[in-house]
Amino acid sequence: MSAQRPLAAVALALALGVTLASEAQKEPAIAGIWQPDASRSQRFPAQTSYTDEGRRIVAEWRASHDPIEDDPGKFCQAPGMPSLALGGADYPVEIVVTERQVTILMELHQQIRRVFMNQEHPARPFPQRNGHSVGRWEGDTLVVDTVGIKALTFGSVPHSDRVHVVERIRAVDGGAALLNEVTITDPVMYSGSVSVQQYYRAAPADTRMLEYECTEGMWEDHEAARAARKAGTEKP
Amino acid sequence: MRYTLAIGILATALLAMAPVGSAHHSPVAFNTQVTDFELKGVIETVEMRNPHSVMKLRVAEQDGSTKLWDIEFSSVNLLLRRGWDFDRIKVGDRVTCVGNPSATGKTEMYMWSLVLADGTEFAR
Repeated sequence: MSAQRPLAAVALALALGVTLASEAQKEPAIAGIWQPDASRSQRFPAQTSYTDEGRRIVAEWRASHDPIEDDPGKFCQAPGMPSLALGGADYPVEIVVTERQVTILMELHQQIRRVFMNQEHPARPFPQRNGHSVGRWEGDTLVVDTVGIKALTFGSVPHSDRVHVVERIRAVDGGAALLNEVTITDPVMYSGSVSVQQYYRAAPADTRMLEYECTEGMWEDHEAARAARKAGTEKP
Repeated sequence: MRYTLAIGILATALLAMAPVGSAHHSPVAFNTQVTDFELKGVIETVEMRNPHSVMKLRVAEQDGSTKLWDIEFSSVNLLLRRGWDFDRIKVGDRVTCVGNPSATGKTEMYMWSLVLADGTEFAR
């Protein structure tokens, strides 16, 4: 009888250990690769209520840029946040969750967002296209707060550097989908907050993210121009 | 004379090696109301790349001459996921391109569907 006690203790310890290990390995439901689901998502409203200043900025951009020749996409310009949070084109997004940081890898333009967990924004964040993001968990929902976004007039959301984005990201439909409720506030550009729901589908298990090199064509153009210059100036 | 001839040969060689170059047109560059614009021709160059893939297609005119068309289509990443088999799309192949014509009358189109000589179709 006394010999059974140590055995029982070992069995209990093993069971506990297995349980703890399995809890430690359990990933948050938002982790993984997701495919934007345009069929369920809302678009940023085309008829947004601009402020007078916002209307002026957008009108000035449109008046000074030819929609074909001056298309930023032609120059591999990534619009950054808040456009990034709106899914956009049909490229997957991978979310990697650690205790200190949630990393959002967007295949389109190889953009990376880093969400620093349980931290405050710096007093004066240096403006960047994707801004400065901090996050916290509210149950299974990741709440991301982003400021310090560089002002940009092109993209689906023309914005000033005072734009503020709050995202509430959680898995829905038993993990088959992801919902990002995005609220955008920009006192310079818009007269009120704009909220948009963006859905994603869980990508098939064999999905692999690809690289997205965008500038090969531009370099080829440069090389052709260089070769033409050389042909025109060098004597044979 | 000798120099002129040499430069001429070099210029011709450069033209023959003409790169596909960069391509990314805004949708406004194409007439998206017309989705069945069709071109038949022979592939002279093709590059699967981002942000958009590009092809130059030699198309015969009714008067017997030919024109080189610029064909723009989806990014290499999206084509890969949609199952396009790049090994089957080669320079010298006779193909049919279907999609949107230029909105400004240029010899260019945005291709949504490519049909090979054996009838195989790669779409979107």
